[in-house]
Amino acid sequence: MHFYGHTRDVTGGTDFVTELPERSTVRDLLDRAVAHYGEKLRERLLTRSGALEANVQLFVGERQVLSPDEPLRDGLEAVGEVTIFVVSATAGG
Amino acid sequence: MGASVAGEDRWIPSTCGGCYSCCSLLVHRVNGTVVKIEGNPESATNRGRLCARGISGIMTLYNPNRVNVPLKRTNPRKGLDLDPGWVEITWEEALETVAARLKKIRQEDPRKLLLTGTVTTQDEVPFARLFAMAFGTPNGWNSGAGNHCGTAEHLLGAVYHASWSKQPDPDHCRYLLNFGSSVGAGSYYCVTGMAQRIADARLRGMRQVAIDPFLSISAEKADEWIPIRPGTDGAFALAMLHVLLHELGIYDRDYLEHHTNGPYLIGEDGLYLRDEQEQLPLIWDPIDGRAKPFSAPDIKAFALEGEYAVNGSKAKPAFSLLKEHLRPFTPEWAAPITSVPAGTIRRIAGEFGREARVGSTIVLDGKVLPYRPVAVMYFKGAQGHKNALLSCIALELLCEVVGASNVPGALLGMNACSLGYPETGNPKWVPKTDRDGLLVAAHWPTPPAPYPPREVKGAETIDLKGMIPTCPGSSGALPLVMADPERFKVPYKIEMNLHLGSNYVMTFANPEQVAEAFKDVFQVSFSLYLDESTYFSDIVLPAASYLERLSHMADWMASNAPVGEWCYHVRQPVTEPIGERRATCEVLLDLAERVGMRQELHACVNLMLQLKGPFALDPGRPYSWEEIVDRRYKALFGEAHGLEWFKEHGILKWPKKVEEVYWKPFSSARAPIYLEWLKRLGEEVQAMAQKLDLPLDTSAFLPLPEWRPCHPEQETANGHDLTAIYYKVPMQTFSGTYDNPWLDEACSIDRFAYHVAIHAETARRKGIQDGDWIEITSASTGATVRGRAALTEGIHPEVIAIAGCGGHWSKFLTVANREGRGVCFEWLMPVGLGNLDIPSLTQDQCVPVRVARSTSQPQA
Repeated sequence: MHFYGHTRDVTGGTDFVTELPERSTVRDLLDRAVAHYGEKLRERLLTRSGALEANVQLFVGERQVLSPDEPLRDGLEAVGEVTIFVVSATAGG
Repeated sequence: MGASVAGEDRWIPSTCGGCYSCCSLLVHRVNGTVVKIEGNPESATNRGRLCARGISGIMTLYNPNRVNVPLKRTNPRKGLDLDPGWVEITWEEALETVAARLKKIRQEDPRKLLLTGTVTTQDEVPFARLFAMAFGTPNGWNSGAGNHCGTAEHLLGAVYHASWSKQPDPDHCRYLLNFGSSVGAGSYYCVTGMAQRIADARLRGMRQVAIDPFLSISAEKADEWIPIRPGTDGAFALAMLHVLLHELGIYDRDYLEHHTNGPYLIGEDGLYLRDEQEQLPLIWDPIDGRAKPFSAPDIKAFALEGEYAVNGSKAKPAFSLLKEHLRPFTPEWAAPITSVPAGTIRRIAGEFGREARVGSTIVLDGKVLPYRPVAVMYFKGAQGHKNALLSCIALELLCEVVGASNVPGALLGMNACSLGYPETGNPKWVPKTDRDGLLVAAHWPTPPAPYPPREVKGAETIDLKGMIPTCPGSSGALPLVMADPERFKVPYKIEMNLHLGSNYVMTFANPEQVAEAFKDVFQVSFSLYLDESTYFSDIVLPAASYLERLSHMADWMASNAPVGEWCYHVRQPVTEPIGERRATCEVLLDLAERVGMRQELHACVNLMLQLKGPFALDPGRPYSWEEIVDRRYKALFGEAHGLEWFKEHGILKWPKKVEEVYWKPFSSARAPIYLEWLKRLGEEVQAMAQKLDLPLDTSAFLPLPEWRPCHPEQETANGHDLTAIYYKVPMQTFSGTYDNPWLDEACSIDRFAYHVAIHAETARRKGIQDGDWIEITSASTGATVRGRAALTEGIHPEVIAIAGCGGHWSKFLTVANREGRGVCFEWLMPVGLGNLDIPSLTQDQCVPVRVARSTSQPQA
């Protein structure tokens, strides 16, 4: 899992490695990352109702995922890399 | 002469950087020296035209006051007039110093880094944002435009037009109501191209009415000028809406039913009634006599008025609530507020409503489309007030109720829909629809777009946008939060500022208060000049100007005209950088390597520039700036249209399709005439403000517009009997161009560019004659500024008007710092929550002032 953008103050770095069982969802992965980095990461990435924040872009492999309830699969294959961008929504203007 | 004949003699295509309009240039270079700049006639953007700033770019390139070597300060004390004690250093020392500081901050907390930019670095700021994003900070401020940004207007650009901003349809509009914007007159977006198009429109019969406190360069080109009291545009618009709906009965029923949330049922709590199953907003179908989800396929008709019982609750359609809400806002109500006679407001409303030609159609490219040839324009003038958002909503609703929104003749989003270059389909963006059926912009220069708003999450950033996500532009709260983050519960303090050309102490508000926020920050400036804000720099890097650098984007959605052709330009160096100047983007690539953040930068560049497949940057190796720009062009326009092609040809253009320009009839997205979501958001903001114990006035988060005065009565008492306003002139871009000698000359021969406009009768009453030095004292800051009076009948009698951002004091700007070179309006404006429109974080820009003839009158 790679984190880019406005997460470094929470994650301290870019890469997070973990193992998940078959048929896991993006939310399972996020829960694992939150357990590691703390609730601040959940606040940064998700709304209170559990949807992805408007400034978060999440990719499972090359595929952009709009809901955390989507599977960590690209077709039949489990995907090894998930990339999260927290776009600096507040920068500039 | 001989050298010219025997040596090099070339015309090189490039793009202007004198403002944000991105006009295409042809630059004449003889033996390595730029001798002339002209507009490129092949460009659909500016069609060969160029303004004074574009032509005079040559004087910015060769200005002897430019920074040519890296500098470091030796004076540890910082202040507005404290000489930094510059000494020259090498690029290596400068970059190592900067990189070491960046590494330290990134290790501690990357949010301590701030990025400040401006519109004349509008090509470099987007790449610097990627640098900041990769670094891990969310903090940025387009401060050079801070006082001048159309913040609330941009929010409603997204909400109503899926675009950063908007323009009237220059091909078909027949009646343009201009509330103080500079459209078509030498400022605003697509400046020269639209100036010509608006001139052409007037020649073919378009009537233009200017509603403006000052007979400005824009207003003087109108058929009629209506002087209005500053900050009351919203009241004028509300009265017009009253006349349209209550007196004339003019509205576009079909548009309201199918392209707005006018039929949505609003419950007694002010929120949508929703269906229990999918929670979709309900409408009332009067034929079936029951409520249905707005997107139900079996809707036979939409009720726009009436009251209905749904599941035991009473509800009314949004349009019905709007109409009821407007009942008290008669022209007689607005007249004493605006100082415009009720009869005039009524007449303008009638002209506007009748010229909208509701029900008429036009055939374009074989497609039958609604024809609504009226538009309402506004920008900083109408919205730079404490009532910014509510006034802007009222102004937008004028077009919405008559259906004059993104259809032929009407108000158009600036390129809200792009179907892409025919050979590649890129770049592509098409307005979208959210779950409630409302319009969502598909493209936004600082993503994500402000609607749907982010969840309210407290003060994560130093601009308060994390807490108030409806501010899409430059936040008026940043200096406050930056100076005292603890008060706003921000858990860190800004320690470093990457400063890209913005002159924030002169372009925001009270320079002393802004300076206080920056004086303890380690500042690295990428600078053309040693302006007032570089007095606070620790390191100054000599920046290449737009004629000396390559850009990855010499174009953006608002730089193109809304009609005609798509047109993408190259910005390439037309000469080698002079001295040791370097392009900022190249320096940022260098710094990314030194800091060790290449992987993150490449990932962010690939995402935001959409570099995919063979064009994606590999984290395993560095890239030159030329390589990145080449990949951006090829990703957009195909392998054959890389950087070398653009360097040779300059521009790539193709015709816009009808469904791109007039996209609304082709879209199912609805515009909100009742901003239910804003009401809900306001409740969230209020709850968060209470939780954080912040004194925020959240009362303007309303679903329907109303009008509120800018200043309380006590501020306007005590002899502060006039209102000072700021306006733009086409000879200058904010504060960044005042050291250009040619522009100085142009301003010197204009009566108002450097002087203070005051009504002749008001001046006579105060014993002021034309050319007299006057003293202007702010009720808000107590500061006094001096300027020379320019008497005119073309200004509201209660108003003085100050142009641009003159009044420089940096000792290194020997053209701009001379006495009489304009007035720095910002000294009159306070920094404070009390001067902000909270929903948009827009500053109020009209200031109660006391004006008197100066006792000191220098000899001419």
